[in-house]
Amino acid sequence: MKALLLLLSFVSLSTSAATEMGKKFSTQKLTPISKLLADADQFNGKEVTIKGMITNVCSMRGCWMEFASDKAYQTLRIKVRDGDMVFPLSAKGKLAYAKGTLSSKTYSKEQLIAMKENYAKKQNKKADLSKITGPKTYYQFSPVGVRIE
Amino acid sequence: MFVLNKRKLFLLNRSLHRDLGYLSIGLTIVFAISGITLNHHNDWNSNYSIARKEIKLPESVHKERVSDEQLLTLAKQKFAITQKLKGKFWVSPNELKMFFPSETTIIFYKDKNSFLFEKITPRFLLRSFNGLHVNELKSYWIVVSDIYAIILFYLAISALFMVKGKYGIRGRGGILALIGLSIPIFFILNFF
Repeated sequence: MKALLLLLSFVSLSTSAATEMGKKFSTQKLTPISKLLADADQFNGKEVTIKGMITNVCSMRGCWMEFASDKAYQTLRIKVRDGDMVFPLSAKGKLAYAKGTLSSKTYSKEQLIAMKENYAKKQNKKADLSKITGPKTYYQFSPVGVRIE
Repeated sequence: MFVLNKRKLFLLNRSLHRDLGYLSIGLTIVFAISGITLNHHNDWNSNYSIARKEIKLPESVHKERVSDEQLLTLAKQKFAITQKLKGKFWVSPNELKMFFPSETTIIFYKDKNSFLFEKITPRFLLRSFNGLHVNELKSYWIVVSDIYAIILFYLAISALFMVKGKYGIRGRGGILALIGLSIPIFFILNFF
């Protein structure tokens, strides 16, 4: 019985998700997300620290989350390789910091259509292509460290 | 002086295999269960259960320009939430997310004039098992899982020498071991 209790206490210990992931970093100097996205070329490859409320988290593997920007209706996706960090779904609505680099990728209209159709096929739904009007650039932030308050 | 002759080695191997086998039961169960659930993560979310409920709002909400505060009050009233708001954010001019403690989110959709209630609950044990499997804890867990991997390797090799005779490596055991080995070899040769 004692052994079982010991085991259960170990399991409960493992459920308390760590709030700090990856490298430790200072939150003294922050770059606003709006500035980062507005001057994406200037920040390309430069390590910066950002802050934002977590508005969405990958519900499957916790491999991405979205930070609310300081600008209205703007969010930034924080993405890691599967397993590098696991963002808990319970972090939604919490304030978080991330240190890392911004990267961007531009997709042509044809690529976007193909991606949308492929996604819809997987979901067994009809693709809504009306919103794809031209090429689009997507930004994502690759963190080396994350702190969730 | 202690001399390890063939007989003693045979017995030592059996004892070690047995004891390490017992030692590995817990970890094997954790990795086996989480292995299955993680394999099927596209079909079923084994980490969390997500309860959702959508309700339509009165026409007046749509017609009148209601403030964020009014929306918050209405949301708390509709879903009997007593907790304080953790944070809110307009994702787009059409979508307001309101976050509450206990993993609850209410999303207001302007175009549909509706609230979507979403509550996330970590699945008992499975969430922890999966976390261990994908090494969320890092640090000491890496040491534990490395030791476990070494034990598994030893169990696999020592199993070859557990039994003598027609059920051993020179008999049925050997055939079964070859079949087992051929499975990963088949996939490696054909799919990589």
